[in-house]
Amino acid sequence: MPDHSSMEACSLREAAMAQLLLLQLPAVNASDAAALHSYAEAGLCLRLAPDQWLLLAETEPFAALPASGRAKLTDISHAWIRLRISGPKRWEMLSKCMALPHPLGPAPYAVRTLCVGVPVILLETSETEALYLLMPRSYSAWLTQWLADAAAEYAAPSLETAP
Amino acid sequence: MKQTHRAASGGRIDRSRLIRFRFNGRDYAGHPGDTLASALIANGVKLLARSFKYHRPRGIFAAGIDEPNALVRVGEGAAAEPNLRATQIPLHEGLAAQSQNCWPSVDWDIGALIGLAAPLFPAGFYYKTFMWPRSAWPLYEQIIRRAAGLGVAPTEADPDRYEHRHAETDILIVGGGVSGLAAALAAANSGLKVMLADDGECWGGQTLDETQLVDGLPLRRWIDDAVQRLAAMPQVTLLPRSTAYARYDHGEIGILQQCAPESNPISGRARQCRWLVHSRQVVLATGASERHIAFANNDLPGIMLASAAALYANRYAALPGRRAVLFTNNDSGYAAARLLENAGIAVVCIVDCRPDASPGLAAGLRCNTIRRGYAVVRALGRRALGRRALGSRALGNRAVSGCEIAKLGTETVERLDCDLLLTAGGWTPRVHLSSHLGERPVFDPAQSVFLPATAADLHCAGACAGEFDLNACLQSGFNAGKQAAASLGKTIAAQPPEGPAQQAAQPASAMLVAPAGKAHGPCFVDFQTDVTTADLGLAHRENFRSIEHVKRYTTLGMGTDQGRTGAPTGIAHIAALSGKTPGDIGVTTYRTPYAPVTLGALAGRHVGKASAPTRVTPLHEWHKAAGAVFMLAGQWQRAQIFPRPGESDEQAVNREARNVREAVGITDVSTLGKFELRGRDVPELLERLYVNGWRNLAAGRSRYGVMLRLDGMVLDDGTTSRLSDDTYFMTTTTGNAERIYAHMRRCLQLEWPGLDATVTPVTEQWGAFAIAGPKARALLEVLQPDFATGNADFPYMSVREGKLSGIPVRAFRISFAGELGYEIYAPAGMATALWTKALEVGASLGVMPYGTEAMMVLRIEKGFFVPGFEADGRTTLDDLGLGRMLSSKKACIGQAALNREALQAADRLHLVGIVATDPTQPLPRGAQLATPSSHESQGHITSMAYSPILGHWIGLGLLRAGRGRHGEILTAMAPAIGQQTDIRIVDPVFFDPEGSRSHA
Repeated sequence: MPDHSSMEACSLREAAMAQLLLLQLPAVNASDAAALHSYAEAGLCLRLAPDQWLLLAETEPFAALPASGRAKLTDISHAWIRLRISGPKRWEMLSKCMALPHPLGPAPYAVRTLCVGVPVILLETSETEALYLLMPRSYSAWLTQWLADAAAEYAAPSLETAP
Repeated sequence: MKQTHRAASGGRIDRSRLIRFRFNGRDYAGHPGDTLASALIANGVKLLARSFKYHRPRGIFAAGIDEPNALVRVGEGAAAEPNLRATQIPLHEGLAAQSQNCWPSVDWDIGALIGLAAPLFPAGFYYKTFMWPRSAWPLYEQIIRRAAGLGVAPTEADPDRYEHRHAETDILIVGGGVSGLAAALAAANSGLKVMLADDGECWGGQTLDETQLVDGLPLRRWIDDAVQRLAAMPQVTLLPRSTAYARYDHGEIGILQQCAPESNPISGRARQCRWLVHSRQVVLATGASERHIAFANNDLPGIMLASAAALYANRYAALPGRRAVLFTNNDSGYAAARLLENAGIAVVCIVDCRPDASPGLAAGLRCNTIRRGYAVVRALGRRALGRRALGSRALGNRAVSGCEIAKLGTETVERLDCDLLLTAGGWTPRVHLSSHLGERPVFDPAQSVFLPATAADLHCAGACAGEFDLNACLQSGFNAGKQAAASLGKTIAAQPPEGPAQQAAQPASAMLVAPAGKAHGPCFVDFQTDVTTADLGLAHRENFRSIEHVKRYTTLGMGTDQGRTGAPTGIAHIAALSGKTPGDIGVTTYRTPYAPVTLGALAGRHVGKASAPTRVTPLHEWHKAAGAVFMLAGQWQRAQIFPRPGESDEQAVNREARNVREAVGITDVSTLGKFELRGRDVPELLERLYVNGWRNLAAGRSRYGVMLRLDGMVLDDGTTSRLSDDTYFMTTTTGNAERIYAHMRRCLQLEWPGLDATVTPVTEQWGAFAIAGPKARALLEVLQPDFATGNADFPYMSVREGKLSGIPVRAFRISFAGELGYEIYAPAGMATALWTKALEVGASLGVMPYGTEAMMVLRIEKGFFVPGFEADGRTTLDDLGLGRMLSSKKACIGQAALNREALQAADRLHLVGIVATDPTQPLPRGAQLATPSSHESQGHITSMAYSPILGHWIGLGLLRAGRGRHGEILTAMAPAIGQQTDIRIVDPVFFDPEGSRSHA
């Protein structure tokens, strides 16, 4: 068994992922480069951890991808619920539950953070006046209700579960 | 009621509208723009409150946040809020307020009789008096606690809504006076993000002389213009009615904003909002508080700070009196006198304790009686009752009617009549926020003030920085904003605003306590806690030297106003008694919050069901519709039982558990931790994590495993199945899912980065349910599997991937109930459909759902341990009877620690089964196990349940050397619930010890 350091192991996995997806993967330090990259015009690739990425697509373009070296793909499409938050007051509403500067960065951009104690991914795409909140399925009922209550004082933003 | 003390003109109030409000049950009227304090002054109300300790009559003393006396209760019932400063409550229609700390009324307060015994209650009274007899302290404590405190909080739930907001900015400016506005204009000119917060209703701060010119404009117009310019800038956020109450590490400032006079839960609008602002640079322009000069009887209603009286008269056209005597030790008293005269109050005399005060200071004043080198030594008051009336002395005076002044160094007094007695003792910069991170204020002997310590990300401006004239405030504000921007690499092109040139101020006198002479009467230093000069003198005589000790002994500065008005006078008095300067004495530690923050604002919307996140399984809605009773397991809402109409909880549990043993049951296990492990080195990873061997696990097979902590104690258990050559599926217990994930990630990233293995959490991806019972295979078959289900094709501890009723699944032949059983994992979005289908097609087999209670019964019958119950963090593998699982052919985490002598001792607590000697008796929950003779605890019951299949209560427990004590009779004692039962120790496996049913 090779005796890799932790960083070497991450690099190996990153190289394998890049080879698999044919793209330059998001940098570890999100402040140096956008945390989100388009993937083959079919979806988005988001770095979750030094050796973990989340691939997002409307369809299932990843299913056919073969494993490549240390790069492994696991389907977690049922694990996340995507909430679309739109309207001019969307950031004001979100400031009630998360401490984030806005805009996050040049779109598309994403951050992992806590929203009222729930681990979420906030995603800003090129879509104007809207952003997406990815939340674990088991928390989604509670968190959606919390957010709806937070939005009660505004005519906007609107909350809708995105496909 | 007519507004008898409202000036005919002036003030920034809207006289075209009347606002009706109630105070102490009486109706009054005010105008938009008023505060409760200004409206009461305009209505001639002088007596608002009773003091904390002696219940002395008190009126409004200061303005805004500095007010120590006028604390009132606003609202009724659940919405009532105590201890609000009348000086900070915006007047609104329907406002209802009342005095507090008095009974039956503020006019006739029986508590004032305590004033008769005031000499018996000096500083430290509690410490000296309640020391004996020692045994009586609990009684004393009850009485003292009942007497302590000011207002009474409502006991009902608060109906108002409170919000939290997070914000991020480049520069936060605290204080919207002229310094803060100048700082904001400079900072905003750089293009950086700027926030400006002010605790007042309107911008402009404490500056009242609005005739002065700034940049060629009258001051008020310059202020309005500045606010308009800032409001128009997209990078600027203005926060009015917002008090910055705390400064935390990393540039975080806590701000409490009053959102609206009346909360409106229906519209979703909050009453208060607590902001947490992260700012890269902070400018403090918090202004200064005026000090008072103490003299005998100085707490009578009608005695005020000069600046406060000038503010009420000019900003609100509310006249606190008609004839004022003004006692000053510095030039600002003359400016206040000028403002008072302009508003229509006659200043009958200015008493300046400086013998050499320049006559030029009085230029332009109508008052021509200036007593230089004099001091007010005593205030005189109108009594509430005639001198002969019972208790009149205790009930005290309702208002000031005059004062006695004396030339310094003499004892001859001169009497002056007045209905308003004002003191101007100089200014104390509000440095609190600058000290919240531990920095100490720095004493400036030239001005005799404590100035704020600055930091790389903290700038101070205006009166807060010791600048007390308008132009200096404007300049320092501009410079602070410029420096803050420069710290962030920005330069600005704007020029500082130009204010009027000011004459150099004459030196102020250090006098903050007038010489007593022959005057008698209490001389109050801290009004909110009733601390007098006599109290401080006593503390000094008793050798309290540190100001921190003096504070705690006398309660100086311990009120909700944090001694804003009282502490400087107290420090000056201690300094005088010690022969030192205030700089030598220092200040007490300023801690958060600077101003009171309501519990509602601290909680925000994190109350009730919104207080903490809860998780639900993909099957939750079905459970709800089926009438399940839920329980919280960590954050998870789990179906506990599915009671039928007319059925008790116990009956439901028994029915569900019996049905599993006799037919087939189905239960939601979606909460189990689930992980997908990929890579060629996964077997090696499992070998290191689990106690047993994994190299020979074939594809399609499952295995049970136990993990240990580094110290050898049992961490968790679960199964791992090999789905294909390099793909594994691991389950953990519900409660340990996050912990095991972190454990594995840490191992892979730090301990063994060379392993080709990845771990992906898939708990949320899969909905899961267990099928258990003799008819479980039949149920699986009616779900139309596309894989073989026979015992040979799908044996115990194996896994199949395929479809059930067309839905993709991973099916595991595993049982936690000790029956023929399967765990079915379907994509979360499809799980309910499959669950519903199973109940539908399995109806003829007698399938019924069972909850966690029945699951608990079934696992106790089988003697299966659960982390948190039997494995309680002090339990080894051998303690649980699983020692033989430990493989000697390889090493795993925690294995080395098992060699420690203590972990191999013969008298360790072992897992045992427990039954009552009288089978009809339930086992006491949480009972200790003891021999009948000694009553010494030798173990305890960890789990217990009624077994419907066995017909009696059973339990599991941990007992010292328990494995060798089967058959022994012990006593189970639970004194907390008053239960005691004789029990017999038995084998922990109560049902099907051979395991034949699982392998069926």
